[in-house]
Amino acid sequence: MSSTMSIRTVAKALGGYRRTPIAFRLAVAFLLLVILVALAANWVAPHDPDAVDFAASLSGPTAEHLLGADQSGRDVLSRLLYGTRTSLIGPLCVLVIATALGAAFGLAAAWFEGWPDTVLSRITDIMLAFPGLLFAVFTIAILGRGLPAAVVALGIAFYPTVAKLTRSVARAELRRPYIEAYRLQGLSGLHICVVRVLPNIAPVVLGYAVVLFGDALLGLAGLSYLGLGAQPPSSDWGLAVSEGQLALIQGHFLPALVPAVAIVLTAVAVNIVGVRAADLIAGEEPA
Amino acid sequence: MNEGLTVGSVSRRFTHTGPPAVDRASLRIPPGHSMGLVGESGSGKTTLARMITGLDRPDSGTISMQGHDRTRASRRARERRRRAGEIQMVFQDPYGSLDPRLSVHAAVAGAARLAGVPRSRCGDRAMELLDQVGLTEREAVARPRTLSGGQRQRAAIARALALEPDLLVLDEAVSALDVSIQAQILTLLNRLRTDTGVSLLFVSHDLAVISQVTDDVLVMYRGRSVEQGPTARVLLDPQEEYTRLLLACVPGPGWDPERVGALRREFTESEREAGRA
Amino acid sequence: MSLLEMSHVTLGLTVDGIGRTLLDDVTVSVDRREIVGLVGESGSGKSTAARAAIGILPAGARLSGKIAVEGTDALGGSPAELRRLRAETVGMVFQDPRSSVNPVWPLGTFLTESLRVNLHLSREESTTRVLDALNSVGLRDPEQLLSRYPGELSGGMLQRVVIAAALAAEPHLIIADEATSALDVTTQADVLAVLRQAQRERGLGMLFITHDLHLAAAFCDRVLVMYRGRIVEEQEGAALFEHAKHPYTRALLAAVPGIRTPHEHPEGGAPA
Repeated sequence: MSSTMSIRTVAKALGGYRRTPIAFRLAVAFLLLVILVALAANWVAPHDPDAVDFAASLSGPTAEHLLGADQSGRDVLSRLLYGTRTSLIGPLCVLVIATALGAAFGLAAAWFEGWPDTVLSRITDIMLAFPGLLFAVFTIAILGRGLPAAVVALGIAFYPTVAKLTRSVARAELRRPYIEAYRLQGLSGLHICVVRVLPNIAPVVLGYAVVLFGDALLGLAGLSYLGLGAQPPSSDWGLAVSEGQLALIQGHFLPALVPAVAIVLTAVAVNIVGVRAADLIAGEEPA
Repeated sequence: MNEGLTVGSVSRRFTHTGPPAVDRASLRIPPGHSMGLVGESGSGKTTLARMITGLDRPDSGTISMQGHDRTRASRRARERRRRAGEIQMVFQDPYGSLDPRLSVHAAVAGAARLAGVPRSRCGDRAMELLDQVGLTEREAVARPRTLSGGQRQRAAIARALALEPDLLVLDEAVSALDVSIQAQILTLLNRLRTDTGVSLLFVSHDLAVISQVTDDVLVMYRGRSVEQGPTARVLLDPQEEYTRLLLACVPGPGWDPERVGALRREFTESEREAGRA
Repeated sequence: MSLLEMSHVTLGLTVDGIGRTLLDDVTVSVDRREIVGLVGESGSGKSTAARAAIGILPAGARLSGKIAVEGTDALGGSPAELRRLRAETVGMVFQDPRSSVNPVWPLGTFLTESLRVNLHLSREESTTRVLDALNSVGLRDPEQLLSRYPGELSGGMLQRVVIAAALAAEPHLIIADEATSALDVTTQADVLAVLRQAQRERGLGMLFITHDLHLAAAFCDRVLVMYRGRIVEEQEGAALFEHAKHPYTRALLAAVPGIRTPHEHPEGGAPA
C-alpha cells in the first residue's frame, strides 16, 4: 500500500527525534481527543447518527447540523463522532490478530530452524507477496461481508511483516548464551520461547505493531469504502466516504470530505506517535 | 567405572569434507576432579564440551555420567531435568549469559526451583548460593545490566550451582575478564570444588589458567586428542610436538617470537608429512 | 627528537554530570628503533592514551599537557597536518582485523586506498609499495592476495594484511592497540615476530598496547604500566619479571603465575 508508505515517511519526518516535538505533541493530543470522543460519543453527539430526516437532506452547515447532513438527512457531525468507535476498534483488532499470528509464526520459525523454518518462512513470503487488498477481497468472498470479516482478512494480510520481524529478532535472542543456560536447565522449547524469549523481544515487536495501526486504519477504511467492510447503517468513516459520493456528485462535498479528512488525520497522528514510540522502545532495549 | 563422567570415542562432523570437528575423543573425570581441555580455535574443545553438556549431539561414541548414558537427546521432561542436575555450564560471554529481564536473585531462585527446592525456600536458597560466590545482597537484586563482567560470571556460577550438578563445565569462562578478576574467579572455583565436591571441566586456550586450576589436561588440535595426562607433567615434560609448541607460545623471560614461528613452521611441516595438513 | 612525546597529559571528561579523569599526568615517549609497551586492564586509560597520541580525543574532553609526533603538535595542529600525521607518520594496527577492513571490497583496494588518496601516489607506485609490504610480513604470493576478499582469509593472515597496510605508508611510528589479542596463541607469536622484524628492518618506533603484562615484558624494550589513568611503573621489559616495584604491577604478575615452561629450561624436561 504505497499511500501508507508515504504517510509513514511524512510521519517520520514530522515526528523525528527532538527536532519537531510539536508535531508529536499535537498528534498525541489529537489521538487523545479521538479516544475521548469514541468513549463519550453518546453525550457529545448532537444527534442520533442513524436518525433519518429527509427534510434536511443535503443541507449545508446550519445551526441544526453543524457540518451539514447527508442525502438521508443524517447529521454529518454526529456520524463523524460515532465513527471514531469503529475506526479505533477495527484496527486494534487487526493489530491483535496480526501480532498474535506473526509472533507465533516468527517464534516457531526461529526456534525450530531447518525445514520447519523454511516452510513457515516460505508461507510468510507468499503471503507478503500477495496483494493485501486482493487477499482481503478473497477472504471476504468466503466469510461474507461485514466489519468482522474485514478485520480477520486484514489481520491475516498483515501478519507477514510482524512474522519476519519477530523471526529475526528471536533468532538473535535465541543465539545468546542465556537461552542455552535455560536449555541446560531442562526447560522445553515451548516454555523457553513463550515464557522467556517472548517477553524479552516483546518491546521491539510491539513497537513495530503500533506503527501497523495506521496501515490497518487505512486498509479497513478502504475495504469499507468498497462495501466489503462495515455495512450500512454503520457510521464507519470509510463507509461514509463511499456513501458521500452521491452527495459529491450533486455538489455537496461535506458528507464525503469530513470522514475522509478524519481518516487521514487519524492515520497520520497514529503514525507519528507510533514511529516515535517504536524508536523510544527500541532505544530502551536492555543490553 | 560408574562414577563421574566417561566420554568414549566421541566424534562430530559439521561438513562432509575436511577434518571432523571432533575425532574420537575420550576422557574421564572422576568425582571431585578438575580437568582442562586445551586447544586453539578449531581444536574441537568447545564442540566436545557442548556435547558433554548435551547442547550438541555426537555422531558416534558414548557419553555417560554417573553410569547414566546421555549420548542421545531425551524427549521426556523428567529425564531432561535429571540430566540438568548432573552437568551444568558457565559460558564465555558474561554479557549474554544472564537473562537481561531478571534480577540475579530471581534467575538463581528460578534455577533452584527447577532443582526441586520448595517454592517458599527458593529465595533463601538463592541468597545462600549468591553468598557462596561472593555476591552481596545489593548485587543480588540488581539486573545484569548494572553488574561488571566478574560479578556476572559469579552470578552465572551461582545459577549453575543451584541445580546441584556433579560436573561444572566452564567454557572459556574467564577469558573475557581482566586478569585480576580472573584470578579471583579461579580462586572461587577452587574453593567451591573443595566445599561442594563438584568436578570441573575447564575449556581454555590459556595455559596459565589451566595450570592454576586443573589436575589433568587434554590437549586438542583440529579435532584430535594430542596429549593427555596430569597437568603438572604435561606442562613440564610435554611429549608431543604440538604441546611443546603451545607451551613455547607462552610469553616469559627470554621469549622469542621468531623462534616460536620456526617451531610452528616445523610443526605444520610434520603435519603435512603425516598427511593431515 | 622523539618519535612520540606525550608530556604530563591529563584528560578529563564529564559523563552524566560526573567529572572523570581518563588520563592523569601521563608521560610517554617513544624513540626510533624502540618498542614501548603500555600495559593496563580495562579502564586503565591505555587505549585513550594511544588515540590521544594521534589527536583522537573523546568529544568534550578537557586536555592539558603536550602531545607531539616527530615535533608536530598532535593537538593544536591544522587538519592538514593531522591528516599527514595519521596517513604518513603513524601506522595503526587495531585488535580485530575483521573490523579494520571493509568486507565488501577486495584487499587490493583496502591496501592501496590510503596511499592513493592521502599520499597521492600513482596506481603503479602504490601497488609496488603494497606488494613490498605484503612480502615483508611474510605473506607468500602477494599478487593474488590483492584480488581476494577479507572473508577468505583467516584471522592471523588478515591481521598480517592490516600490518602490511600500516607499513606500506612507510610510517616512522607504529601504534599497535591489542594487535594480537584476538588471535590464537600460535598465530600471536607469528604476528609478533612479523611486527618485530618489520620494526627492526625499518628502524621504526612502536607503541605496543596490551592487557597482557607477561607479553609486554617479554616483547617490549620498555614497559609502562597504567592503572586508572596513571602510569604506576616504568621499567625495561626483561627486568619487569624480577624487579617490579609497584604493588599493582606485582599483583598483576602474581595473578598469572608463570608456568614452568621448557623455554625457561632449554634442555627440556624437569628442572635439576
